[in-house]
Amino acid sequence: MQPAEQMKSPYLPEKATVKNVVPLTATERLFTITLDNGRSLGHIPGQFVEVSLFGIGEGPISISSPPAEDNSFELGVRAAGNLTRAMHGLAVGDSLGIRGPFGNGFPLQALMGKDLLFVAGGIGLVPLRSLIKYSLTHRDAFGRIIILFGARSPKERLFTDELTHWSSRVDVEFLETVDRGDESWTGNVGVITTLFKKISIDARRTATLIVGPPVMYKYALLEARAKEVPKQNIWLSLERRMKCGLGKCGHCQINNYYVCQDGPVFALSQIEDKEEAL
Amino acid sequence: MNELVLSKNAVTPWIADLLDGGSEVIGVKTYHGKYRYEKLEEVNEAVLNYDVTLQSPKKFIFPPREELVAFTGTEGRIPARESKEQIIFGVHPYDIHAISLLDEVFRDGPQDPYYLDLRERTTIVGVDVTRPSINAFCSSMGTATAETGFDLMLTEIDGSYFVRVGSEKGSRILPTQAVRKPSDLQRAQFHKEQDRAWSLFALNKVVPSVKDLPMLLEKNQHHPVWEELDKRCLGCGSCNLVCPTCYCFDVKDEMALDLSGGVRYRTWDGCLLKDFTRVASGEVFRESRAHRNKHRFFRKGKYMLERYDKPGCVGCGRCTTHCLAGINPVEVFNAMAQKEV
Repeated sequence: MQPAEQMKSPYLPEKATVKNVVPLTATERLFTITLDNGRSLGHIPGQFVEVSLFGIGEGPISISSPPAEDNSFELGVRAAGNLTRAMHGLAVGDSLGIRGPFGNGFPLQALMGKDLLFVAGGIGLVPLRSLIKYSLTHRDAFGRIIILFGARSPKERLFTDELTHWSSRVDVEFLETVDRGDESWTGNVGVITTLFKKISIDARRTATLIVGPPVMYKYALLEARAKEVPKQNIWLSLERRMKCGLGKCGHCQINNYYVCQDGPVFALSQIEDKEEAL
Repeated sequence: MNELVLSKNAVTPWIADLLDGGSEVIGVKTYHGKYRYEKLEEVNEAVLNYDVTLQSPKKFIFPPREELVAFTGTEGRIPARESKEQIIFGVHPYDIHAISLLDEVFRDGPQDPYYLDLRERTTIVGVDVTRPSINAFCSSMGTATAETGFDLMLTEIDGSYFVRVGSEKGSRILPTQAVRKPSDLQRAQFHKEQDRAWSLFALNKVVPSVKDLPMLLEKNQHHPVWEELDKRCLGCGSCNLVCPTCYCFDVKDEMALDLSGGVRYRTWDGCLLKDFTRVASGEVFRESRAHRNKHRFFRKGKYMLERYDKPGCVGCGRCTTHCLAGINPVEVFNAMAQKEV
């Protein structure tokens, strides 16, 4: 046996530190993270990282923040499996491993100058938030910014301060709904597709960006198509089990695409004939 | 290409020299009436006229369990690695084609240093098929012989082996004795044997040619054969395990007993297993066995071919041999060719 120091491994995570933790809901938390070597992650909105906790494992997590000047980035995480439950046990100052960023991210060049229609279903807001915040920072580079957000219940609304901020901005059209209200809820009730009826768009100049649970895509796409948004201007970010991030392990494959390399963001025109995509 | 002739009775002393040479020598041994690749301990264990081995030699360049990261607390490092050279002796052409495909996969895009390191330390001595496995369909997949992908290649001709040298690595392990230039007659015999290799697999023939498989699959996404496979397939993943070109893997962590650290390793996985596509929310993206079979056949007949310009199936027939439900790729491809939908 020989030491393998001369070998460079794409599987060896970079060490990183939790700088801040904010609870978003009962099951979701937002982590602010920096890499210990001081490197900027260098991501674009829509990319993901592999988060590693040695002894627990590794999993793909969407980056929830736009590129920041202080080199930090944010991950919004639902406690769903072994890794994410363990992540919820992390406190400020704790260590974790990061590989990435991986994937293509949103097509910023193609989106410039367009009206942006964001459609975020539940935790789908986490990856979309990176682009929403990016577009608000570069507000003049885009036309209208319309955000549709749907949560299952008022308690499951994410980033509530930011939702309030977006709804108060005159240069953002923000509509939200919950599947089921409660006694305190005075807003819209109904699934996210009901919000499409409340907006009018210029389909020729609108890019639609949809992220949500797998079941949502079919219905949200019907609404977007009913508004005659061209297929090449409808963008979706797809969830799969990206295990290696390197286009090798096979888990994230959608027909001949590797989501970790060719995605996770796809235009509808790229995937509509892929049986496994939607 | 450098060509030589080696008398048959010079093979045993040659293997003895290789065993003494410090490299690990892996060869084909008999195993309960079948054959399998194993580390050779004795000269006379090596079999060259076998039909097919239970497993392909893949496991020696892409081990079923390979450590990627070792960790102590939150500090990770690349684990210490074996540095020994290995010689795989007696590899059939279809398995050589399979290794060439794996080479493409792990060199393409982000390179895989673990695979490339082990591959670099591996010398492949091939041997042409003299008796075919009953389930093999190599002539259909273009893998009955090999022109590249080996370091040395042996072809049996009349009491001797015709030896082609495929690389510098190969020439380094050539036996010093009993090697001479082939005569015209021997070269003619070699070509005759190469031609004969293609006729050995006449029993099993895929009707469409390899280059037509992507289109055939594309047109038959809704062919009844997929529903038929849904009923027959047990979803056990044996086909994935024995396939020389399957390389999907899972990555897992394992703690040391004292919990001070551990290793992150990769382990073979299979797309026929239901959990293969499961995500944290519980969603499974290929729920039915029809769907999982379809994915496997599309990968072998279309996706790999389109991405790497090499078919993802080399026609070894191992999946047919090991399938408890008797699923046979030749029948699946031919079912689509005979009755397109």
